[in-house]
Amino acid sequence: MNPITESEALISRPIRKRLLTRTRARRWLRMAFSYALLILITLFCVFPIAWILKTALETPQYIRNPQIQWIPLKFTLQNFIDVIGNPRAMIGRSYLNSFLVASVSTLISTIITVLAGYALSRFSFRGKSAFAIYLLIINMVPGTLILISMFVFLVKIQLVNTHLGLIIYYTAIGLPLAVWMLKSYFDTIPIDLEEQAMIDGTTRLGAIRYVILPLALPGIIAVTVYVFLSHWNEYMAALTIVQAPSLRTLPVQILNFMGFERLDWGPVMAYSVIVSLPVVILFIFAQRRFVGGLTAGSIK
Amino acid sequence: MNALKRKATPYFLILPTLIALIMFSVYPFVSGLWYSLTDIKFIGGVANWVGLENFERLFTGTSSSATYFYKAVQQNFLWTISVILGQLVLGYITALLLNEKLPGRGIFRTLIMLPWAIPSVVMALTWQWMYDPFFGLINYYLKALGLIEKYQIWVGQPNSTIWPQVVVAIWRGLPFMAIMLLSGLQSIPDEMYEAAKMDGASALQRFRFITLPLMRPVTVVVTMLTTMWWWNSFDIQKVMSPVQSLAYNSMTLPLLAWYEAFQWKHLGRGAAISVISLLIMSIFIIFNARRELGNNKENS
Repeated sequence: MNPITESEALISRPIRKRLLTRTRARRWLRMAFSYALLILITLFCVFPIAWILKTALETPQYIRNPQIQWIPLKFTLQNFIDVIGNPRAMIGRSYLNSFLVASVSTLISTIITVLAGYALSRFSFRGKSAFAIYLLIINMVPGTLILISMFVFLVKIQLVNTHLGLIIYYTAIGLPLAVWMLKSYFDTIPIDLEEQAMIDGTTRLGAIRYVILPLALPGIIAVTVYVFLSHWNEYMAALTIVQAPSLRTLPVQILNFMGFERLDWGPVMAYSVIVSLPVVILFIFAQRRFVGGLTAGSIK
Repeated sequence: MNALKRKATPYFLILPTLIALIMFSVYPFVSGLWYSLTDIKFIGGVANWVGLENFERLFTGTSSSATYFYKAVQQNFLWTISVILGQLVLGYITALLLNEKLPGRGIFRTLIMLPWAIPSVVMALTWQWMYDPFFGLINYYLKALGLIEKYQIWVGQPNSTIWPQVVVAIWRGLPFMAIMLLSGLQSIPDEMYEAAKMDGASALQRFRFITLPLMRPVTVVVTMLTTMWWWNSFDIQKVMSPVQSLAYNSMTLPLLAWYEAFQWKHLGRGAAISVISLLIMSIFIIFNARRELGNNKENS
């Protein structure tokens, strides 16, 4: 409610009432307009995702239909059964590959970056700003440049076409962002807590272990999820470093599968649902936290 | 002793990250720069110094990647500028709407985040299905709205343009842009708007004289960050390009570098393309960072 200003108070009651209804009507109009616009943008964001689901759940002969229907004409799980049973899809194998590569690389990068993020947040030391600037400018180096020399390196140590090679690459590209996000989480934890613990006789590592880690755990989990998702979705290096079909990760394998199924979108969309569902759930569950870390990290 | 220990602590903490960064980030970066001056082969890793030959070939050559090079530079500018502009405009509208305290905005926020959660390969595939020349919903709706007369072949042809991919990239990047801008908007204290309202400033004036200047730092940082990402983006272009031949009209630098290095197996030339891409980006970033720093100094 608007507070009634002095000049309004001087106006007689009926007029005041009319003025009030007018502002109220205006406010309603404004709100309706905002909602309409918001719904339009939300539709733009959501319709491709709805379309994945619709295609995946539609009976194959109705998928290529000249009329567009948003509810499946004849609901079926046939596409999912086809994909899971299709040996060319190799869905179980690729799932395992993706999970292995993404989780190992994420684990390594989070463990080593927790300490670095803490150091960046708590200490000032010589070379700190150079270190921080490097973490930012590495973002602008084209992925292809790093990939080319990583590829040469992996060929030399004979790790091309192995999961370990991919894990090394992912660990390297995940580090800068993880350090940066973790630093911003540690910044939000008051420094007094660990100083108190250290006055009480704990060592620095003890303070980190027993005071800081439990407090920062939600943030650390959020960063872990974020890094995991970006490795799970990574395509360029997965396409380049690993060639053997049995070693492929999901993004490469789903495209390969689409190559076989040329224009048969039902199974491909069912595959898409199977690939996306776990990460979408993880994302929704963790997004509030890692969004906080990202914004704090890049805006400060 | 204690002072020394205190000084050494941060270095111990960043040591694991530093070692990993030097081995897997600094080293590949530097060797990538070096490879651009060599004729390094796909297998064997023998690199002979050839000076600026790779660059010369790109600028004056008439075969393979050189025929695409100028077009790719031009397209990369077009791609980045239009993607970032689209994301900024839509992102601002979305952020302003989400910043109004509308009931139910939590649901809208989560739904708007969804394009960010879907693996990039999956969403590129989905858009490819929506762009389908015979049964795609984009053709269907554009025709229903009277915007096109007959169904178009949007993507996957050697002469396809970059615009359908730009739409996908805007869709993909909108959530990140909107959320970052939203967090900037939320950091503007409500009192400022109240005070301006008291002084009789209209909504438009409040936007012009409060929101825009206060949002400037956030906008600049987010724009620089997303410009780096989209300048180097690869997944959408790769998935939506034709499989057999190269698309001249939608070629961009990351794609060209990747083809040159890993399809035509000229790692050195691929590195050279990446280096040029990096140089262009660094000029942009340095120019902007300088201007921003200059502005900050004037203000304080």
